[in-house]
Amino acid sequence: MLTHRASGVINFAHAALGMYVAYAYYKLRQTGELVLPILGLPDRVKIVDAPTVFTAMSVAVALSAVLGLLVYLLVFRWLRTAPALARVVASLGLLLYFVAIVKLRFDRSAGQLPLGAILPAGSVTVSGVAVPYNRLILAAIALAVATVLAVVFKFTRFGMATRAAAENEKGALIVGHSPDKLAVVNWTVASVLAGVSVIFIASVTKQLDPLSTSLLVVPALAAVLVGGLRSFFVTSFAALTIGMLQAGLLNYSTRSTWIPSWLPRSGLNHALPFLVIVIALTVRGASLPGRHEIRESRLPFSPRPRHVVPVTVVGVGLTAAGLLTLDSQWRLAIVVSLIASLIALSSVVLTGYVGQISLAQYAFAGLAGFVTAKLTEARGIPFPWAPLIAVALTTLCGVLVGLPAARVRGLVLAVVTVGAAVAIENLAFKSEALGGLGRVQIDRPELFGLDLGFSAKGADNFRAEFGIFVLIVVACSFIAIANLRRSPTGLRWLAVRANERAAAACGINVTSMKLEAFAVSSMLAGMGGVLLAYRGSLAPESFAVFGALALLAVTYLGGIASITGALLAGVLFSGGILTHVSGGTTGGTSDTAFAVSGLALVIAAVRTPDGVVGFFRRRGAGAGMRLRARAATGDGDSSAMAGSVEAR
Amino acid sequence: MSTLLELRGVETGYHGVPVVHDLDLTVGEGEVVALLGANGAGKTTVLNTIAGLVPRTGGSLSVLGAPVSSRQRGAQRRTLDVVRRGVGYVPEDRALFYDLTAIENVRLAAARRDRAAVAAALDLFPALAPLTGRAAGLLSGGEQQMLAVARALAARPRLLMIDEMSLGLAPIIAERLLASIRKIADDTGTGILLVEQQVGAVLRVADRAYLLRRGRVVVEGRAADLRARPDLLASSYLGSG
Amino acid sequence: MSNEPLLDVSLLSVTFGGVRAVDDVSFAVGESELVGLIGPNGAGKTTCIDALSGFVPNAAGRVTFEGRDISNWPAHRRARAGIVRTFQSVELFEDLTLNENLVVAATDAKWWSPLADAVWPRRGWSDDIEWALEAVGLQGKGELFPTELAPGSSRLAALARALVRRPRLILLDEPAAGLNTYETEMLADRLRALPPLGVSVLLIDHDTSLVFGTCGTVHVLDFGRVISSGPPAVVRADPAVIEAYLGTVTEP
Repeated sequence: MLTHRASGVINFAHAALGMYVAYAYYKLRQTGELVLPILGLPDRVKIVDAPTVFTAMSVAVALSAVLGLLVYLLVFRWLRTAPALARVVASLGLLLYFVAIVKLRFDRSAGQLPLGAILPAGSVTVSGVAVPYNRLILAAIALAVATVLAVVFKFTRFGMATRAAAENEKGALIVGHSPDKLAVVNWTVASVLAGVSVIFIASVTKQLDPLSTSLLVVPALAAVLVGGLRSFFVTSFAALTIGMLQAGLLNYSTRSTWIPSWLPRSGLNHALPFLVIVIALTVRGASLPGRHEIRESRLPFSPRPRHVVPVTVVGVGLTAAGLLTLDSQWRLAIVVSLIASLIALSSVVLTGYVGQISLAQYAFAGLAGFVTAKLTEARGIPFPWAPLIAVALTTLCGVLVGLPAARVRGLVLAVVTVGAAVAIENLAFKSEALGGLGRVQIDRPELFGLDLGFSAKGADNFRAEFGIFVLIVVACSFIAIANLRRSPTGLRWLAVRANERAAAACGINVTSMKLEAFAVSSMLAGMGGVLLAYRGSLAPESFAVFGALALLAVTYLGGIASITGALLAGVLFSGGILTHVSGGTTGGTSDTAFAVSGLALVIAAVRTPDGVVGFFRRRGAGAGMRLRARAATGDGDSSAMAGSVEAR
Repeated sequence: MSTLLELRGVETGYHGVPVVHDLDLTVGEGEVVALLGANGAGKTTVLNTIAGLVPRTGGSLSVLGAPVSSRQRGAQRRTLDVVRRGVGYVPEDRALFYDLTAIENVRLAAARRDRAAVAAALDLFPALAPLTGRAAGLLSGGEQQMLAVARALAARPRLLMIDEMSLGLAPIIAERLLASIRKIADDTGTGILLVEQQVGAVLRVADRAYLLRRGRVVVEGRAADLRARPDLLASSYLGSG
Repeated sequence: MSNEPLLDVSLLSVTFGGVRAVDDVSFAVGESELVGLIGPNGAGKTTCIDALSGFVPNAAGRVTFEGRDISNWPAHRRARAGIVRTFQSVELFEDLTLNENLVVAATDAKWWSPLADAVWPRRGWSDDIEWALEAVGLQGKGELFPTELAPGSSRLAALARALVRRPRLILLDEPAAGLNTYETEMLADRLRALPPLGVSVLLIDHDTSLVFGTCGTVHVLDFGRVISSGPPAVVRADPAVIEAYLGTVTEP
C-alpha cells in the first residue's frame, strides 16, 4: 500500500520480495550466509558465523531496503506513466523472478529451514478459541506499525508531501517537492516492511513457501482496496478482519454441518478475499470514466490480421506433418504449445483487444477441465457433450467474474481477477465434488468410433490422433478470433479499449462489450482447459494462480494484442516447443527458465510494450518512425516475422 | 528595476505542433503584467513553458537571472529548478491536493518552519480562516482559488504566475483579490504575471499587458492605454464581424 | 408533434459535489436548426453537453427528444436514438483507421454479432461512411490512422464519426479549437450545410465569430445560467454578455 502511495503501482511482487527476504533471513540464521538474489552474481556471501536474531534482522532490513530501492529505480520509475497493463506485467515479472530465484538458490527442502520462534509462545483463550500469544503480539505490532505510519503521514512534512505527490504530481512539482525522491524513500520503507512482516509471519505460522507466501499479496491487496488505497487504519483493520475471518471460517467449517458438503472446507477461507474485493469495488466504481480521468499512454498496438487463409493452411499443414512424423516427445511439446496458445488467445481477446486485465484465464481453463472430468466420471456423460457443457459453464463463470469489470478498470480489475482465480482454485479444484485434491482420471475421448485419446494404452507413447484433434480445435479458434478482429465486433472491442467515453458516444454499450469479451475469452480458456484435461491427468496444482501469472507473462512477451503473439506464447510456454528444443524436460517447468522469463518480462514491460511481435515489426519498419511506418509499410514488414499471421 | 523574467523569440508547443510563436515578454520587479487573449490563444502554454512543464522549441528564456534549459528530458528537474529559484505558479487547474487540508496545502509550499509566511499568505484571505482544517477538495470553487493563490504566496516567490485567477469567482471577490495582488507587488517587489479573463478588472491593476491572438502578440503596451481602447479588446474576444 | 422542438431542455441542473455547474438551464433546438451555446471559461458549456449526451447525470430537470423523456437514458442509448456528440479533445480511436472509426459508429452491436462475425467477417462497410467522409471533406483519407492526420483534419474526422449515424441532432464541443482561420471558415460552411440534410446542431465554441456567423439562435451561459438568448446581433450587443466576457471595461 505504501508502494501505491509512492508511485501508483499495485505491486503483485510485494509479498514475493518479502518472501525472498524471509528466506534470506532464516538461511542467515542457520548458516551465516547471505544468499544474493541476482543472477550472474555469486550465489552467497558469508557474513558471520552464528548471527544473532539482531544481526540477522539488521541484514534482512538492509537487504530489503536495497531490493526495494533497486526495484523502484530499475523498473517502476520508468513505468510511472505507462499503461496499467505494463505495470501489472512488470510486477508479475518480478514475482516470477523472486519465486524462481528462491527455488534455485535455496535448498529444495525449503521447509526444513529452521523457522525459529522470535516471539514468545503460550496462548490465551478468547470465547472458546485458544489464541496464541505470538499471534496477538503480531496483530499488535501490525496495528502499531499502522499507527506510526498514519501519524507520520498525517503530521510530518514528508508524509504530507507523499500524500500530495501521490495525488497530484504536478502540484508537488510546482511547490518544490520532488516526486521521485519521495517515491524512493517510500519504496524502501515499504520493502523493509514487507520483508520484516514476512519474517514474523513465517515465524508464527511456521510456513514459508515460495508460492503461497508470495500469494499473501492477494488478501493484502483486498485489504488495501477496502482501505481505498488511502487510509492506513482502515487497511490494517480490514487486513486483520480478513485474516481472522479466514481463520474463523477454517475453524468453523471443519466443525459445522450446514455448509454444503460440496464446498471445500479449506477452500472457503481463500475465496473470502475475492468476495471482499468485489464488494468493496462495485460499491465504489463508476460505469464510465470521468472527463478529467488521467489518460494513460497507449496500449500495445493491435495489428489487423492479414493473409489468414494462406497462413492457416501452411501453419496447419506444417504442424500436422510434425505431429505425424516426429517422435513422441515432440508430439507432446507441440500439443502443450497448441493448448497454451489457445489459453493465451483468451488473454489476447480480453486484455489485448478490450483492455481488461485478467489473471483468471488459467483458472477458467482449469475449471472447464475439472467440470469435464467430473461430468464424464460421475454422471457418465459421453465425450462431445461433457466438454461442451463444461465450456458453457466456464463461459457463464467468465461473465460473472466480468461483472465487476463493468465498474472498475485497470490495476484494480487485475486484483479482482487474481482474487477470482484464487477463489476458483480453492472452491472448485479443492472441492470434493470435483475430485478433491486427488488427481482426476478422465475417459478417453471418442468421436464416431474414432479414438482420440492422447496416450496409447499402457505405453508412454503419445498418439498423433489427439494432436490432430487439438490442432483442429485450435486452428478453428484462431480463425474465428482473426475474423472477429477484422469485423465490426472486433473494432468495437478495440474502440472500448481505446476510449470508453468516445465508444459510448458512438452508441456502443460499453458494459455489454466487456461482458461479451469476458464470455468469448473464458470460452476459449475453457476449451483450452478441456483439451488439457484430455491430454492426461489433472491435478489442482497444474492450474494454480502461479501458472496463470506465467501464462499472462509469456502472452505479454509474445505480444498481448495480436494473434501471432498468442501463438508465440504457446511456443514460449514452459513445457512447450521452446523448452523441448532447448533440451528442458517437456511438460515440466524449469526454475531457471522462470527466473529468466521473469526478468525478460520486466524488461519487456519497460522497453517494448508490443511484445516480441511488435519488436520485430519495429525492427522491420525502422526505429523512430513507428507510427508512420505502421501505415506506410503495410505488407512489407510481414517478411520480418516468418510465419506471421498478421501484417500491420 | 531589475528584470525577473525575460523571454526572447520563444517558440513552444505540444507534440511538435507550435502553439506560441516568436514571443518577447518581460516582467520586472514589483511589476504586474497581464497576458490577455481569447481561449486557445496560447496564454496557458506560455506559463507552462516558463514553469518548465512544457519544453520550448526555440528562443531563450531566463528566469530570475538564470537561463532555463530546453531539453526534452528532465521536465521534473527543470520545474523543480525553476520553482526553487523562487517562482510561484498557480496553474489553471489549481493542482491543489484535494485530500490534504487547506493548511497542509499551504504548509507544504512554504519553506520548512516558515510559519510567518503561512500566516501571511492566509491573512490575505479572511474567508479561508475558518476553513483551514477542511480538506481542500471540500472547499467551493472560489475558496479553492484563494487557497491556490495562498499556497503559491507561502513560498515567498519573487515571481508569481497566476492562470485565470478569477475563473469561477464572483466579480467582486475577483476584484478584491486583484487588489491584494497589486499590493503584494508594491510591498514586496514580487513580479506578477497574470493570465486573466476579466479584462476590465485586470487592466485596472496591471502595469502593462500583452494581447495574444493565435499564439502571437498582437497588442502590447501600458494597461492604461489599452483600457482606453475597449473596441480593440472586444473585437479580439467577441469577433469583429 | 411538428410544433414540438426536436430537443427540449427544461430547468436542467448538474451538480458536482455541491457546486451547481449547470443551473436551471432551459432552451430548445428545433428541427434543422443551428443553435449556439457560448460563455466564458468554466461557464458550464461542456457540462451541459455532457448532461445532454448522458455522460453526467442531471440533478434536476427534464430533457425530451422527439417528444420522449430521455433524462435517464445511458449515453449509448441516446446515441442510438439520434443524439450524437463530439469531444473537445477529439478522442478518435487511435488504433483504428479512419474508416474503422466510422464503422464502429455506423454499426450497432446485436447479441449475435460476435457469433456471426466469427464465422463470416464483415467489413461493416456502408454508404453512410462514404457520405460522412465527404460531408467533412475527408474523402479518400479513410485508410489513414488518426495520428497521421493534421490536427485540423482529425477534428473533421471526429465530426464525420458523429455524422455517420445520420443523427437527428449533433452536439459539437469546440469543433474549431486548434483550427486555423481558413479551416474555421471551411468548418462553418460544412456546419451550415447540415440542417438541410435534416441534422440539427448545437454548437459550443469559444471562437465566437464562428458561432455568431453560423447559428440562428445563440444562448450565453455564465456561472451555469443562461444570461442571454436570441439572434447573434441581439446577443452580441447585450450588456450582460459583454460584462460576462470582459468584466466592466470602462472606469467605474
